[in-house]
Amino acid sequence: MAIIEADDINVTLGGLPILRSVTLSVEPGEAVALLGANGSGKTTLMRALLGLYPLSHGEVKLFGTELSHFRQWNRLGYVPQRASVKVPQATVREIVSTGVLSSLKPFQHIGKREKARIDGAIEEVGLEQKANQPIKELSGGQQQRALIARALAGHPELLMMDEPFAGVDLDVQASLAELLGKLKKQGKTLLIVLHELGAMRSVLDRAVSLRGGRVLAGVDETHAHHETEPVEEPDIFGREGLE
Amino acid sequence: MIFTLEFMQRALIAAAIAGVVSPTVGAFIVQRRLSLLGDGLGHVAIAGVGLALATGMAPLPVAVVVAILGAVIIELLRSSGRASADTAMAVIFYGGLATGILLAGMVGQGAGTLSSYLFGSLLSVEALDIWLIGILGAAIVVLVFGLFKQLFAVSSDEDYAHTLGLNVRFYNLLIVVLAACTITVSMRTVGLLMVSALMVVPVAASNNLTRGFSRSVLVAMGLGLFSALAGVIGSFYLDAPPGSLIVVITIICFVISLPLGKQLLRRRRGLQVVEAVEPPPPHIPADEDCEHVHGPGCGHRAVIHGSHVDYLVDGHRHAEHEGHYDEH
Ligand SMILES: Nc1ncnc2c1ncn2[C@@H]1O[C@H](COP(=O)(O)OP(=O)(O)O)[C@@H](O)[C@H]1O
Ligand SMILES: [Mg+2]
Repeated sequence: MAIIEADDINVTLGGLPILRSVTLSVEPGEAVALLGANGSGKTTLMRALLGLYPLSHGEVKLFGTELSHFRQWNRLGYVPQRASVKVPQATVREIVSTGVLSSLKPFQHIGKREKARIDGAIEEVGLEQKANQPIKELSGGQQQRALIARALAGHPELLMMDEPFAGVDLDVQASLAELLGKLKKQGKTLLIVLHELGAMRSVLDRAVSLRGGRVLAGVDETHAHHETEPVEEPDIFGREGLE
Repeated sequence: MIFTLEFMQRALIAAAIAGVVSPTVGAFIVQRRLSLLGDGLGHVAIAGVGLALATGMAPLPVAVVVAILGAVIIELLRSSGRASADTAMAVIFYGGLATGILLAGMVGQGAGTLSSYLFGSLLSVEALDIWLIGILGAAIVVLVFGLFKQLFAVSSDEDYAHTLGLNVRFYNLLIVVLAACTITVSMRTVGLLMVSALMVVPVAASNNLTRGFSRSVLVAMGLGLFSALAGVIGSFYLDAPPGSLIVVITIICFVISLPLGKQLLRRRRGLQVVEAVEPPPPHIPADEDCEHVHGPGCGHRAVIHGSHVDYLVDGHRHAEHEGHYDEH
């Protein structure tokens, strides 16, 4: 059974067709990159897969369940593109703590197990020194790492990340890529929107390229960690649908 | 001694509950940038008071029902995202205010009776009111703290909250319904025209002083309690409506918090280690094996790299730099 299954989905935003008959399937334990120029529809696809945008055609299944019936949200962790936290004085720990809510019932307290997961996630992204600082006092890259920690805190089986490395220093990118490689070895499934493969090259199984809201044919099977052949990077010429 | 006066005891209890409860809900109202919604709901509750005065019912319960009803309608309008929602809300707010005054006036309960609900009053808190205020206040505190994490998640990042499986619409509705209940808790002491201030201003002051959301809520509750009690006691001696004094005190707290917060921030900053600035990338001219000028269709793959375009040559990235190519 595929972890993510999008069957011929269309998404229309503001009256414009943004995604056009996109079909995508991610198998358990796979690490898949989503590539494409700015405005090619990567974020839209990610959000459609999560039910944040309505589909005008087609169907999405997560863990084998059709999206409108899907309830096991604790099995996935999402890192949105760009920091979107609206409480500037909230601390890193407060933000990361929300990541465990998918497995808590209303009125249930954060227990020992969740506390350990929250601390572990903060440590894994290297923010333990900043844990009690308001998120607004962090640099863009550090805020991004806090959002990655938030997704990790729930110990999800599937990580869906939208340009998680934007604004993050190169050496930190390398250590985050190492972390994601470790998670993949543990059997987690990864779907990651990337601007360039960079440090993730060795972690990925394959890449899916979007252009103008469609999946580029043939690219789907490209093995991202191929030794000699350069990986499919988005071709900036002839790109459609600029932002 | 004023504390032995029975009406003052009742006023102080009512004010203490209002002072503690208002900022807890207010913290989420401020986060959601709905500061003026509380004010609008106060106006709607005036219609409830007018209706109660006109029909001889108890004002507090009627005000609760009307305010909750108004809150639900307003939230549905707001979340519909329609452009007309803003106008519709204004109509509801002023409609509430006008209806309340009209109804009270019609039965001869002119400005006098109504004004005790608009600006708060020390004399008018009845024993029955205390019970209702206490029960409502307790319910609000239990809901806010029992669902604190969920309310925080929804207020800080709605889309992410959705991917946690939280019912975002329910929690959004809950916040405004809690605001409606808070308004009726505060109306006897602060008055319906200024209830929103006790929800919003202590939170704003506390945000200047504290780091972290939960801590900010706790400090705001303390400031709210202090302002409400000080306002009630002060208004006894000044013979003024307590609401105005309570609000003035919260605003004084806010004004003091501005320079105080800056000073606290400077002290904390001073203790922090300044992080080293990353040096610019080294300037490495590319090998001369690249004789031609890169451009569209030159045979080398183009890669967007930040603000410019690199061209892939044998796994190296060449970037144009003053007439030659650098390694990137
Ligand atoms: N809410 C929206 N309403 C209308 N158009 C949108 C909206 N969001 C994105 N778009 C358009 O959809 C296209 C794809 O956007 P996006 O998915 O963000 O691209 P990417 O993440 O690949 O850069 C762009 O042309 C963008 O302008
Ligand atoms: Mg994007």
